[in-house]
Amino acid sequence: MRRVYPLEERCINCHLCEVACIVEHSKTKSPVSAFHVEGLRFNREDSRTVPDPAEALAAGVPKPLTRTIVQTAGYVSVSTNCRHCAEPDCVLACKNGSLYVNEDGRVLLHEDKCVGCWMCIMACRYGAITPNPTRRNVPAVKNNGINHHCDLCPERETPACVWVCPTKALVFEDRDVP
Amino acid sequence: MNYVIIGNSFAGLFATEAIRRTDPEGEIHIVSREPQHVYSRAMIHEMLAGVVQEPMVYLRDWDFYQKMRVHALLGRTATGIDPKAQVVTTDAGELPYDRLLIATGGKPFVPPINGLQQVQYHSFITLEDARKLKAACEGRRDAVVLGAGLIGLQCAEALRHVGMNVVVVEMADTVLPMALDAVASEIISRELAEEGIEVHTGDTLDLVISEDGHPTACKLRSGGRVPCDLIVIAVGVRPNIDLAKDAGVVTDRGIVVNERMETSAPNVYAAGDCAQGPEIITGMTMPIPVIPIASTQGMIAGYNMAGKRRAYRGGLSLNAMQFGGVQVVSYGFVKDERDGEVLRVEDPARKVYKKLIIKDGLITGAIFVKDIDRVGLFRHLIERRIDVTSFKEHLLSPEFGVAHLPAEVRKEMFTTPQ
Repeated sequence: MRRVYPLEERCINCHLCEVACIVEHSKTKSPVSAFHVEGLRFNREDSRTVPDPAEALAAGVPKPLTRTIVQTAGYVSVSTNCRHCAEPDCVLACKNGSLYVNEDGRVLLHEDKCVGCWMCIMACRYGAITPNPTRRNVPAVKNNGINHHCDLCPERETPACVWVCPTKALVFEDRDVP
Repeated sequence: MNYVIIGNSFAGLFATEAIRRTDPEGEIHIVSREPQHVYSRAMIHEMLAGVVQEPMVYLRDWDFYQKMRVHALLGRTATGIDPKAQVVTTDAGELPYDRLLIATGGKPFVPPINGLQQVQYHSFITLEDARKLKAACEGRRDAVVLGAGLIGLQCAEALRHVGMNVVVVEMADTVLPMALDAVASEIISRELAEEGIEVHTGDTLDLVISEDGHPTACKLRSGGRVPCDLIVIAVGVRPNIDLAKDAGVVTDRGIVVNERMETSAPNVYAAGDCAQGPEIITGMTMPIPVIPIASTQGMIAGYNMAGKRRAYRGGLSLNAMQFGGVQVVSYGFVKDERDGEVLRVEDPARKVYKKLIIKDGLITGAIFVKDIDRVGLFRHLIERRIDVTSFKEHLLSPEFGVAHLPAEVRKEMFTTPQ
């Protein structure tokens, strides 16, 4: 299947992939509305000092709800997201069967079922899962939220992050070995 | 090909799916003592607390067995295995097998306590246990939970949530003595105290005082006495190895399996909490009773049973839990600091605590409290035995991520299908 692969030597750390991801998964699909009206705006610097997503939301510095995350160290920058593994560790760890492998190979979430136990965050060796504190199926639990990861943009031919990347540092390719 | 699976939880479930992917034709029988559709034991405290809807505890849709073309013998008990004749006996008759998976999970350990056998006490393992406990809460007020492990504390939190007074008694000096170190345990203790749960560590029950089969109070070893009309025993869970042992299959603490999940008996496999498989840090075999290991072992067993040779890399003890508003993730051996370098970050005001134990360049244990951003990267570093010496100073920084890994590690992770 086609998956998103990063080419880190082309990445210029512009974070446009994150913007495109957030906008694509917004209601309005307009950057200004998504960030200022829907409140999906994020502040990377502030959110680092408040790493807990629910706390950050309460403090008005929501963590980026992007599904691809640009990570930097010195001169290295790379945008990574869900690998849509063939035998996903998150699915093997999910404590109530909320995560599943779809028929087309994508790893997806039953959004109404996820209880926010974060077994998936513990299990995912790619660090591709973040909590989404804006959706809570178990409000009685403090800091509840649901799993948030790349869905390969079901409404698009090419995922938004790949489409937007000005340096072609993300590609959408089938690298499966038959 | 005739497949028989004893047990209907994570290991049995993922084995079933792996068998069906590999062998669309074979006959699959699942035998389970529990009558329910495949469900998660890790959801029963949320059921007891009443914070989730019942459908959320089931692991697959209602038509799962139908879709997988599985004969599900639920509410049936396997009573014996004859490895020579390759037959499983059940209370519903005999089941011949070509490949057998024992995935019988764990069973609660109940210590001898004076007066305990005279009263009705509760375990907290199955959905049925949770239902019984919930019914027992009606008209009762004072619960005592013996054992401050994961199950005991989750049960205590749920009982508190439904309005009971809850006292937890734990023999060890800290809560979660197996899963966490002293600092992390202390953070959890404070959360429990804030929720109004009373915890007595370094103590145990000396006597259960009862009247007409109903408990009225418990005497503690330390001399105290606590009122009690409901007792939950959550001291621990042991691998459920009786069937295997009686059949002459080699057992130790669990049913001993190799990297293909094969037991000592031909065509008999074991997986999940009942199995004792290879562990990746020590290279020894040990039971690792956690969901991701049960699922992975079940999947590996299923593939091998159906004729697709797959080897298991070895398990890593790993857990995620939350009490109060605090999430905790742990990997490996979190208390064994001997001959190791220990890296720590503590921010008590925000309840953040992170610790890594590094031996000869390799991480052997890790705890993350509250800040669990991208912690799964540590699982990769531990399981793939990656030397962290060259980027050690970044490991516990808030920015630590994929970009800090050596380029060749990143390449292996992100340029090929996983």
